[in-house]
Order: sequence, then C-alpha cells, then structure tokens
Amino acid sequence: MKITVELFGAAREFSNKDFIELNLLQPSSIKDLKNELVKMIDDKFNGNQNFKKIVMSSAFCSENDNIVSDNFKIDKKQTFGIIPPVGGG
Amino acid sequence: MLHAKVIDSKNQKIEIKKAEEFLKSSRFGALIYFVGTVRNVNDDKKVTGITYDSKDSLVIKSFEEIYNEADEKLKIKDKAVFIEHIKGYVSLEEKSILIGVGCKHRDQAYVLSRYIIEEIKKRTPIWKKEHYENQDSEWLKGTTIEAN
Repeated sequence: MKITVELFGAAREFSNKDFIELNLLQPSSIKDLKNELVKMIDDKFNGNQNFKKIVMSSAFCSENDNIVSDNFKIDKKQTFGIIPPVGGG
Repeated sequence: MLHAKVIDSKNQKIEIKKAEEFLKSSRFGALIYFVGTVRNVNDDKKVTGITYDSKDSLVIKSFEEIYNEADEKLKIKDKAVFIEHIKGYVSLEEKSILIGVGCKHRDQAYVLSRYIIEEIKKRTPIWKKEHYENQDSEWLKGTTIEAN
C-alpha cells in the first residue's frame, strides 16, 4: 500500500518535494514506516547517518493530527507527517 | 479567550497592536507581552536570518492544549491569551513569536506567559533553520515529541 510522508523541519532535506511516497506491506506499523525510511536513506543518500538519526528521533502524526506511537497499525493508504525534534520560539 | 495563529512571513507580520486590541478589557489589571526576535549570534556563529517551518494544524492544536492546561495546572481561569508564531524567512530583529496574556493580577500574568513559551519550545511543531554570514545554513536541534 502507498503511504505518503509529509516532510517538516530537518526532514525536508530528504526530498525536493514537500513529501515522499513509500510502499509498505499491508498491514504495517509506524515502526515499519521508520525502517522503510531508513532503507530509503541507505539507497538515496548512501546511508547518511544524520538523516537516519532524524528518522529515529522523530514522531509521526496521523491525518487527524494525533501523534501516534511506533505500534500504531497502518492498514490502508494514508498520509503521515514526520515530526523531527521541535524548537520554535 | 484564545487567539492562536501561524503568520506566513511572505505576506504578514506579527504586530503587537493586534494583541493589544485583543487583550483590551477592564477585567484585566495585568497585561504582559513576550516577543521573540531573531538574534545575530548563535553558538558563536553570525546569524543573518532564520527560516521557520511549521505544521500549522498541529501548531494550533498545541496552542489550544497549552491554553486549556493552564486552567488545570496553573488554576488561572480568568485570562485572555494571544499567540502568534511566524513561519517562513525572517531577518535579524524581526519578530518570530508574540505571546500576549491578560490576567487579573501580575503574578498570574508572569506565570502564565512563562508557562506558555516554555511549553511551546518543548512540544509545538515548529522548526528553525538558521542562515549564517558564510552562506551556510543549519536546522537547529530540538526536543523529541513523544506519543501520548
């Protein structure tokens, strides 16, 4: 199934677009989504360690703006936002 | 009473007069305005500006949660809060955030203003990319948000 990840903050460096699309097995979880992002970084960015750290330290939010845990079940095509460590003000 | 908004620097600015208008009330004897601006040095690097990124819908949700929590945690019921945060590029000295609070008494106003800015720093999905005099730029490290 196709999953869209909207990019924010440091994760914007992952693409020239505002989002990336990944294919995940059905069903999957946020943990699987993170692993897929790490694979993408291995392929596209030669395993860039800083990018991997961004993925592993990020939260993910659902389409209805809830921060979801690693165990959150993904069973249909949907969009998540990657939320790297925050620091406004 | 809460005003919460993300301001896009391309077409708007943060203005204190809007907060003054919003907070004007004979109920409040104490008004405090906290203004965050872009500083010229960070970690010994000369900063020329900052690009702010924001997940707008989640930012507004976060502002509302922080405002509502103040009822329970700080026991400040009678209050008005004005929060605007910038997104996009801002130059030195320009405003990045304005928090205006109106309370009956000064003790409450100081506590509430401090509480709001500290919570925003910890959990509101806004990010800073600093731009430096040598043309480099860098996303700043922040605080990881945990799922509830």
